[in-house]
Amino acid sequence: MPPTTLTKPSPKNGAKGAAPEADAAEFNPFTGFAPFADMWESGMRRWWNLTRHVMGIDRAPVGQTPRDAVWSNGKAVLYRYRSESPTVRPPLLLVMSLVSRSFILDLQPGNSFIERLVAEGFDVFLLDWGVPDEEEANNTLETYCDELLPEAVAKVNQMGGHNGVTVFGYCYGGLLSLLYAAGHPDDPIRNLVVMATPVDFTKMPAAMTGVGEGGIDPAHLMDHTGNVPAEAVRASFTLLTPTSDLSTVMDFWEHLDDDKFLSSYQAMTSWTRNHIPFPGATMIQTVEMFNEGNGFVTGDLVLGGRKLDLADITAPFLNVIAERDHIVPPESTYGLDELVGSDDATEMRLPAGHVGLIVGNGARKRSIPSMIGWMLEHSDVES
Amino acid sequence: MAKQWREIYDEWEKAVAPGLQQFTASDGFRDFMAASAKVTSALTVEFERASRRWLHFWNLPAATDVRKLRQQVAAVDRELKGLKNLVFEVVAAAPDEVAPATNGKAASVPSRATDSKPAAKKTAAKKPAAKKSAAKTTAPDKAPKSDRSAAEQPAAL
Repeated sequence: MPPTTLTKPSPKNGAKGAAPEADAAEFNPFTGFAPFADMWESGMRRWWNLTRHVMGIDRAPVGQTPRDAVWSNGKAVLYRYRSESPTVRPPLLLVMSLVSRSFILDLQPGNSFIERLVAEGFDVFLLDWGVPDEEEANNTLETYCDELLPEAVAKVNQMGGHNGVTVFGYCYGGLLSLLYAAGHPDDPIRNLVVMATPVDFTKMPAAMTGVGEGGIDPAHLMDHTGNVPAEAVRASFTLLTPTSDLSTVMDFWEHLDDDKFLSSYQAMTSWTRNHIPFPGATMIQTVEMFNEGNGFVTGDLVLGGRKLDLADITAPFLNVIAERDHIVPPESTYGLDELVGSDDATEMRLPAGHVGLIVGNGARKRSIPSMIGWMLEHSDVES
Repeated sequence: MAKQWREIYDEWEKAVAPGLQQFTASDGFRDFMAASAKVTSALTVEFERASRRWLHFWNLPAATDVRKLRQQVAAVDRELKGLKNLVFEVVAAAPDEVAPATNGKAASVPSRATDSKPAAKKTAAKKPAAKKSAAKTTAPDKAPKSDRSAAEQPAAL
């Protein structure tokens, strides 16, 4: 029964035998119905939020920072974020993973890595690989690291006034950035930053490395397009924390009357539940080079017929590690600063998860300022 | 009361999650997944073969036929892109001598003094910087359309 002042015993008359007149005298019609009103309001809001979530009404928008597409090749698109007057040089190129959507870097106003970078004066570019289909099924690591990335970097460099480029790779995008930088030492890379990037594949979770020799044959994962379907990609992440989906639903139900929570929930789930297919040929190459060969650690990296060496990366280098990362565990990323040839190589360990590096309160207060601080130190800042 | 069911769930999750994670990371589970993927793949192939035979019997195209066509189109598209890049490189390497003609074959370009018409070709020859990047013009928050400027697009393509 809901609490109400109507049944509260009067201290004057005691619990028993309290005169109805006395109780009635204590009931305040202006505040007495407040608990009922609160319950009613909360209940109605829950039903409304549930209805609009299920019906897809007024869903939380993502990727709101204004931008322009400035280059494309196939499905890969290079975006430049609008900025009144960028004060930081060189421009910053964000390289996204192949299996997840890029709007995680620009989730929502007030909770956006890119928005923050633009506000700090960076000239921000984002390389979005798009959603592959049959056309991209034969894309290899060479396609990304020897064709698309060099073209995108050249474009950014040209648009940024030939000051070089800070390349910033996230997750698998970091892996691509490392291969690209090692294979193109003469390209105008001013700084290289990789974040939550797998290096030692022997220390990766079994669900991420179960494909290959002695495990799942990559060919058995391909769908009719020749790519690994998005559902399979998502399943591999779900297997890392099997109860996480259920916990997310519980969070949703618990905070259903909170409009702000619902907005964040919709934005995050639209990312975590919408992966993109992994190009088949790249998948096979990744399995051979990294799952089976552990290429970064053994040094057995061959791209386009030539041997790569991480020691050829001489630009200032930052390796950002999330200490609570369950997708790319920190132990699989330690020591990368010693593998590259940069004299100025830094390893930054942050108390966050894989996504928490760039999304949420922790990111806003700790991770993002730390990364921005390093990049500002290695850039030219106009006053 | 509202929190009680959550506490019960959290307790259950705390008890169950580590075991589940251990199970999904085990060799046995990996073997099961490998076998499952193999069987699913084999069944899909068999089903497709049977349905294709049936559809072909009635002279109808099967999904695999459409898939093959799409893959062929993708291959042709890739080849075309490669050729396009090659043409850009040729044009950039010899700007005053060779430019692509409208019939797809390379043709010699008249000297600039006498040539008054194909301004686009001349501009293309003058700007080798944009040769490889296949740059496209901007559209706010949209994938760029193929409205490449004359300076960057040889007339033949």
